[in-house]
Amino acid sequence: MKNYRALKKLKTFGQYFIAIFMAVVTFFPLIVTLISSLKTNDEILLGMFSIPKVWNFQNYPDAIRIANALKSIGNSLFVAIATLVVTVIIAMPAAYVIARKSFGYLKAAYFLFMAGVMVPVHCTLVSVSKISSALGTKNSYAFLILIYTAFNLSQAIFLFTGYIQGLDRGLDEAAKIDGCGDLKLLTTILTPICKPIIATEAILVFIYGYSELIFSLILITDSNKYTISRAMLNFTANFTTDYGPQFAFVIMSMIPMLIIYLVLHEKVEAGMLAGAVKG
Amino acid sequence: MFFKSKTYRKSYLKSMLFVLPGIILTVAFVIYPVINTAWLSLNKWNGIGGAPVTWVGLENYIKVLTSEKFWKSMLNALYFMIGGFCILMPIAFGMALLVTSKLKGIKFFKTAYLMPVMLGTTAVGLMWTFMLNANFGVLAQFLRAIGLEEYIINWLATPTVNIWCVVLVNEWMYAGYNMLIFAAGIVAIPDEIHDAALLDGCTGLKKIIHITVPLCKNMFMVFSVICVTGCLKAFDIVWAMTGGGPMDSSATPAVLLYTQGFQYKLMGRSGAISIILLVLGLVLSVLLNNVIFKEKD
Amino acid sequence: MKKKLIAAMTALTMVASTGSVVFADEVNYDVENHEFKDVTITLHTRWDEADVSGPLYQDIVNGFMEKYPGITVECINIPTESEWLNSESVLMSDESSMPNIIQEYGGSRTAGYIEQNLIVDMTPYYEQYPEWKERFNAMGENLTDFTTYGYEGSYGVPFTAYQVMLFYNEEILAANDIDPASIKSWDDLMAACEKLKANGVQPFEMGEKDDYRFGHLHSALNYKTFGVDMAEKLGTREVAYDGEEQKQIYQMIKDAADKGYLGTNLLGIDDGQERSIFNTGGAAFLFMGTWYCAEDKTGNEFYDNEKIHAMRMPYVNEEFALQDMGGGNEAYYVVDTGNPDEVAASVLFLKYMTSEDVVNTFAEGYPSPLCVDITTEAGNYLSKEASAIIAETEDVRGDIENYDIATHMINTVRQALQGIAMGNSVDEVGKTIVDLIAEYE
Repeated sequence: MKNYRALKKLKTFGQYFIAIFMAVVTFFPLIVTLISSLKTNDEILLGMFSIPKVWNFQNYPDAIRIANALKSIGNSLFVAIATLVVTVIIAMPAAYVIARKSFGYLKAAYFLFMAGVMVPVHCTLVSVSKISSALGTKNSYAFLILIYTAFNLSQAIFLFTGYIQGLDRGLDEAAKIDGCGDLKLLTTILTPICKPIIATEAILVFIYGYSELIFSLILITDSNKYTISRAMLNFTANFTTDYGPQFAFVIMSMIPMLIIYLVLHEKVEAGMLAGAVKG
Repeated sequence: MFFKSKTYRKSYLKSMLFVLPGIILTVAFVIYPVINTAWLSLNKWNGIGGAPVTWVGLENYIKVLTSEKFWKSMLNALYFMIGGFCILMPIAFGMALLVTSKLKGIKFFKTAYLMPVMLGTTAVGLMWTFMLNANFGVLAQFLRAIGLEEYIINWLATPTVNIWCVVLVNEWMYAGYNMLIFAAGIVAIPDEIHDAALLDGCTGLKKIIHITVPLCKNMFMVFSVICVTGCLKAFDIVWAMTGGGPMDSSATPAVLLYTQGFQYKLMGRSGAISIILLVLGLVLSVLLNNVIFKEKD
Repeated sequence: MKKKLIAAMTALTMVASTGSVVFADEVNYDVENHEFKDVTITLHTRWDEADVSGPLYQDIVNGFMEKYPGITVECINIPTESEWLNSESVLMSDESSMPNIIQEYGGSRTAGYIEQNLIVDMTPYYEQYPEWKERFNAMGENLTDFTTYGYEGSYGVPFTAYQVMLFYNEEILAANDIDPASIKSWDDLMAACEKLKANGVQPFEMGEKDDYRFGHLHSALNYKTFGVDMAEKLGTREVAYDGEEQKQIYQMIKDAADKGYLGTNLLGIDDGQERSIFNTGGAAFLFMGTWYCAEDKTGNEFYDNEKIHAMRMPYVNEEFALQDMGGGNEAYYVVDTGNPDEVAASVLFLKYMTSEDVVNTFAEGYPSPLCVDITTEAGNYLSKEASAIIAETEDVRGDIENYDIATHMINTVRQALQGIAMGNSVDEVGKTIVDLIAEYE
């Protein structure tokens, strides 16, 4: 018994060791970024891994001014959240029928979505731009969000289908016997169970929508509507060597992401605790 | 199936409504552009509106498939895949096991692991090119400090070494992201199975191999497909770190597709690369889906 | 929309009645007296809001909109090269999305647009306003003249200009007993580099990660060795990229690179870091275009103490001592969108942009050579030195690869030259270029 306990302790220790090691590997560059965001440009070039001789807080106001940081962070947040909502609303029902019904066309639909995962973004640019001009949707967030959704749907449906297929069908049957229709089954029973994967996908979509560049570059030309990545181009220009504000901007743009992540992360926990998954 | 009853028909149509919005979006913004690209890949076009588009048949495909540049880029994509399956998958799965275990401070670790992906590719690329700089980068500083100066080379400018640097940075960035996918799968394993396993004396590594991994099969399948297609399409991180250079030595097929199309203005050839990638991705995922994952059923 | 429709219908009837388009006579070139009502034009540029020049360009736009309330100018400013190119390529791929004015650098990409009749010929406008035409000096010709591609006329309005020069740090040279005035030829420069290197001082720290660095060196050395005529000879492939003449140029770059004169980490740093290192005294020389004079030098002690100076790029062959790499740096091309109001408004904007007061204000804030004559004593000490050198220059050409018929050449040659930094031989460089030309034909 004593042996067993020692072994268990060792195991826990090992787990912590690995967990902390990975956290250090992850954090190290981030800390370097944070420190760099407080350095002057020349000092960054002299060596990244050093404590700044002069703490230069000016990078932050510079970043806010140059990139209109607060505005662009707000824009990105809006676009990302809207994309996330639309994606989940469209993908969930599709994934449900693909996972649970066996009509022939669903296989074809699934194949179509899967094909979507493989499409390299750059080969769609010319066509998407053409559609946008034809519809007159320049500077329209609605159009941008639909594009983002289209490019996230494949992965969302993929993840949701995979997850629902892994769930016990008994649950559906029981609900059907209780007289539950498809829509009700989906909204009241499956969706709560799928919370972990929905939260996962939501985070993935959020990250995509928050930091996407190529489409926003072509579809959004009004500088008041710039998203983060687009605004960041103002730093990374060829003849601009201001690395300090660039790092400051990176740090600032991370904060809303972290908050969203923490909120959604709570939802994942909640989904687990609801017990439906385990039942 | 025997009798196409009214309920069957109703369910048939209703299901269609469920998938329709997704299909419309995908067809309009993904499939239609692909069809356009496929058509362009059989033509010669300099990408300028109003310029003639001339039919050349399969010439673009022949040129691409016989070009050394293309095969070099495919090799780089292969490195990405090797990295994905041999490094990213074990790490991400291990992280998922950790964050779903009963350790204290899990919330912290989970958030920590996911942070790199939130930085965005441009920032990650910028940061790591700085870290890997042979003059003032952290790695060079470190090697100098421990007296291994002769190992300092220009990592991002040496062929093969540079693509592996990019691959490793890619794993660093996406480990937490893929952790989420595995974690969702692990969380979905019912408690009873855990309890049953415990009663059978199945713990530790044994439990992971015999219980957790098989029950997360779907998630492994999802990972594989996302990894394979992601590797074929890898662009952002390569572009941010090396721009595909020097001399295309770190270019992936997607980088090649971009430079051929938008810099060299060879839209037909760029289209041909797109279609090759697409078909290859489809074939590989169908194979993964049917051969590797279905047979065990 | 309606106007477009009417224009299209008129065009159709004209074609139907006469069998040919007779547009030219219809256009009114007197844009000053054109009536504008709710006209919106779009500019596609690389203006950089974070750069010194950014706010100056924005002032031009604002001033114009104030003066002509009937016109709204929308700017799409994308400072990074690849994204800017990406965006321009996509927008120019279809008539419906084309901007009204594009910022470009001449060369075969622009020639491609001209070939599709997408760029407005400025000649009739200059005939309308002869005094406007007179404001331009010869520096912008390389961006507006496309006769080598077979197109007569004058395309685009050139704005900033440049010449590639050698900047040096007087303090470092003095400390190493090198007299900058003695550096006249490439051999002199190499001798100075040898001396510096022997004393443990880095002569150049080039950022060849941005492959235009060796590209510029290759162009400049060509003009300094064979004269500016080499541009046309190489462009028409009369001279081969793997021939003896070009190999001689590659060899010069290779020798300097192999000896470590050009940099210690050629492929590891970019052009921004290159300047940073020079600005902080990490290198004795900087090989760069004159835009360097106008860049922000806040906190640069060497500059504040006037220790950084400009000199002409050394010659290889004395005969061509006054032939250099340079010319127009950027030009603005009016895109023919088929809407006469938009075209007129675009021309009017460029006329305003190059008018006396506007140009003077711009030059005062951004002391870089311009293709438009200025009537102000603007400039810092460095830009004045550069201007004095430019004033003596006999002939200039831009990037040598841009005189080629194939659009891909600029990328192909620059990439192959990167091979020098990777240790490739001159034969390999030549072969890479020739092989790629064959592959793309």
